[in-house]
Formats: sequence, structure tokens, C-alpha cells
Amino acid sequence: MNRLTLKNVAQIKEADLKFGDLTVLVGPQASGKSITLQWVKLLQDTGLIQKQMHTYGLDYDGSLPEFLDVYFGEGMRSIWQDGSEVKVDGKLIDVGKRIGRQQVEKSETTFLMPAQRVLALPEGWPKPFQGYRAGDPYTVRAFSDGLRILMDREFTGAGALFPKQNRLKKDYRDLLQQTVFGGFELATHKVQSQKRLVLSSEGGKLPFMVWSAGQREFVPLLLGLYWLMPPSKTTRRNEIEWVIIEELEMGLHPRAISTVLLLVLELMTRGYRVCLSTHSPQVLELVWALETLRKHGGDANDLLDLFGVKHSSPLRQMAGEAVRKVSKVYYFEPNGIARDITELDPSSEEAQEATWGGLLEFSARANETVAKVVSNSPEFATGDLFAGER
Amino acid sequence: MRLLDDVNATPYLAGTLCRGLGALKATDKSHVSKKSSTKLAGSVDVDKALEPSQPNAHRWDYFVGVYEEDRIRIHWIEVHPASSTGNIAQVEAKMSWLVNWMKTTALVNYPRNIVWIASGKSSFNSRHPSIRKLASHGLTYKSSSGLEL
Repeated sequence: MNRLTLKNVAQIKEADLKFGDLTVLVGPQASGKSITLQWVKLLQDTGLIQKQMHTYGLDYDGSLPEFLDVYFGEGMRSIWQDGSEVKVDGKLIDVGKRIGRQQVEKSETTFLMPAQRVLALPEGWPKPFQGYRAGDPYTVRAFSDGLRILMDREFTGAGALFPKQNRLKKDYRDLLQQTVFGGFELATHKVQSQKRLVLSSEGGKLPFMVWSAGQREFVPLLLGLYWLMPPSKTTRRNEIEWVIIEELEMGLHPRAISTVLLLVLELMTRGYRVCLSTHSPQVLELVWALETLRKHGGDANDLLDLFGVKHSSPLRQMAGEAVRKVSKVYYFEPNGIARDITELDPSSEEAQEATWGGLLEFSARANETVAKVVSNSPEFATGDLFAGER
Repeated sequence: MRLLDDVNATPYLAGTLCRGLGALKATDKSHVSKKSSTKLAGSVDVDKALEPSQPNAHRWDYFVGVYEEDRIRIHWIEVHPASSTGNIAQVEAKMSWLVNWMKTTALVNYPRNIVWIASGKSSFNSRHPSIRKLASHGLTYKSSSGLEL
């Protein structure tokens, strides 16, 4: 899929998205970003999703409205209305027919890490697909179950899950240690035969509920990244081509967000196409820089300078490939239209592009307010503000 | 307080107050717009007026007077490239000059707005630490889409 067009779907009047190696969706709450990303997953993995629902006893009777309630979550049948339309690469999809029949089941091609990912680890252990209510969104259940399978298959014994020598490059492990985990290691621990994830240090073991908000948000993301970056010479997991991460910034300090963005670049250089939704200007700052480097001959060193990380050989190799990747940014307007704002030109005549979909509005106003007050202060008029700098 | 009198009383500015945005060069004027309700008190090309007396100084470009109820606010406008971080240091130098020069004139008594308008594509956005620093020194940064009076 290179292009997805949604018309009159939920609150979206028209979204015509041409995907890059990295595609970022921005916009206010309830503007359709998450629904769009779930459609990407649904259209790529229809057969697998149908089969999984069948296996776990979710029966929608071939009915599109019932399927939508199961897939998107309770009450979401309303997103499909008269005049709703979905096109993939310009070709109209008969959604009712596609859902009405079991499609050929293929391996998963799209791995979606939902915004509600913290719910995947209640009590510090991944919840199985059947552990959710029937009205809970499929993408949350599937992600959660994927983590359960990862833990069952690849982390059977006790011991550290992070840092772990054969998982992630050392540079990333060091950065995550500094920016997310501090002095702790993530480990499996048993209490009366019940396994759970804990953060452990010499001082003891901390259960899930006492982790910091950022750690609770990040650990499901880390496990997802473990799934996508297997500990072998193969760079990708099975047939997965697309990685979707909703709001990767949740709960994280900007330094930790930088580390996660480096990992996003790593995913891209492994050949995954990455789609993000975000409310973080930092994510758009990466796109702004990436596109500028790509268009104006920037290189790996420039990109690593952006992250303020050492120029080790593995990171240089990764960054050398990342600077050639194409990015796209779409702004989902409150009026239901999605607009391409990839240029992110701060000088754009279009306010939504200049303010990066509203993400810079407040910072610009803060500057103006501060400047106005300072320039009319007695200290300004006397030149005292500049006295120390001459 | 009459702007015309204060301009004429300022060394080297006598006779330079133009109507509306008349003092602005055409290319620079394209970055400045005004609401239909805004009433202008005139404009001065500061850079040009002071060039003979201060040829090597980091002179500011213009000011524009705008009526606000019972007073006039002076918008000090510098149209300058913003294509590299080096431009920030240039504008800082100009601002330092402006403050020192302004306080020797009656124009310092007017409420003001100090604005740098990018003359072309911007290389930084409103979150750039240097733009924050300029704001904390009283300067508002505007991209080339400009200033609306």
C-alpha cells in the first residue's frame, strides 16, 4: 500500500495519504488519526484479523457494522455511513464484501502498537487476547496477545529482559539505560509461581504499579521493539512490513523521546515502513531535520549531531541509511480534512503548516507575550537587559 | 505626544516620517500587512536616515507608528534573513544598537513592539533556544509570512 484514501469515514471527510518510509499524523484529539492507522492495519491484514476473531469466538456474522464494533471497539459501527469510501492505491475497496467473506489468511504484515498499550501489562504481565471484553478494540487485544507470545516463546526463563546483550545495539541499550531505566534492569520475577515484570536494582524489585508513568508506557513499547528486532541476523520479523506506533512520546521526557526516535530510525533502516501519530513537536522536529538533510545533502554525522549521540560505527551506518528515507506529515484538521504539511515550513503562508498543525502555536504565543512585556519594561528602555552582554 | 514632533526632534530623522507604510522598501512591505481597522501614524526608514551619521553601526531597519485608542504604539521592524543561526547574532547586535540609540531619543517614551521578520525561508522555529533568548530580551520573531498591524 502506497496510498490510502478515506472519505466520510467517522469524522474524516477526506484523507488522501501518500505514505513515505516514515509517515506522521498530527492533529487535535478525535480528528481521526487513530482510526486511520487502524484502517491501515485492517486493510493489510484482513484475513488474519478475521481468522483471529473466529479462533477466539468473536462472531460478527459477516456483518460489517458488527465487525466494526469488534475491530474498532464498542459503538464504532457508526464510523461507516452513507457515502463512506475507502481506496487503496486509488482502487475502491468494497469494504462490506471484504468483511463479509473470510479473506485468505496470510502472515501479519502490519504491527500496530496502540495508544492504550499500557493496558497490555496489567499486574506487569501481558494479558491474553481473551482477557479483554468483547467491546475492547482489536488492536489493543492483538498487541497485548503479541507481547504474551513474545514472553512465552523468547523470555521463558528468569533474568533480565533489559539490558540484554542480544537485544538492541549496545548504543541503544546505553541510551535507554540513561534516559528511561536509570539504574534499574527490567526482569522477570515469580511470586508464588505467578510471573511478572519488575524493575530490579540492588535495593529490591519494583512491581509495575510503582514504576514511573514513562516506564509503564515504555516497557510495552520496548517489548514491541524486541518483537520487531529479533535476536538473529535477520533484520525483520517474519513478513512484517509496516510498523504503526501511536503517540510514542507518552509519559516520556524529551531525552527519552529522542532515544525512541533513534529506534524508529533503526526500524526504518531495517526496511520497515513506519507510521506514527503524535502530539509532540519533537517528532516533527525530527521529520523537519530529516527532510532537510535528505534534500540538501546532509549526512550521517549531521543526523547523529541532531540526537547528540556519539558517532559510533553502528549508529553512523544506521544514520547513513536513515538520511535517505522519505518522510510525510499529514495534519488532520478539526473540519475533517487531512492536509499534507510535510514541508513544515515555518515561513509558510498556511498557518497550519507554519505552526506544524498547531503544535507550535503556544510556543510562538509564549515568545510574543514575553517579548511584548520585556520590550515595554523599564529595564529594556535603560538598556540594562543588554548590559552584561556588551 | 505627537509622533511627527518627536521624529523631527530626533537627530537625523527630521523630515523622514512617511505616510502609512511609505518608508518601507517594496520587498520589505510585502511582509507587513494591516487590518482594515488599523490606523497608521506613519513610518520611518531608520536605517537609511542614520546611515550618513552611523555608517558602520548595526542599524535597525524601520519603525511604524500605529494608533491605539489614546496613544501610538511604535513597531520597530527589522526585515532580515533567518536562514542560519549566524543571523541570530546579527539581529542581536542590531537590537543592542537599537536599545542604545532609542534611549537617546523621545521615541523611547512610546509603547513598543520590536519585531524581526524573516526575509526568506526560516531555518528555525519558535522553539529554538536562541529565539527564546531574543524573546526574553524583548524581541518578537516572525516568519516571512510576516507581521499584521
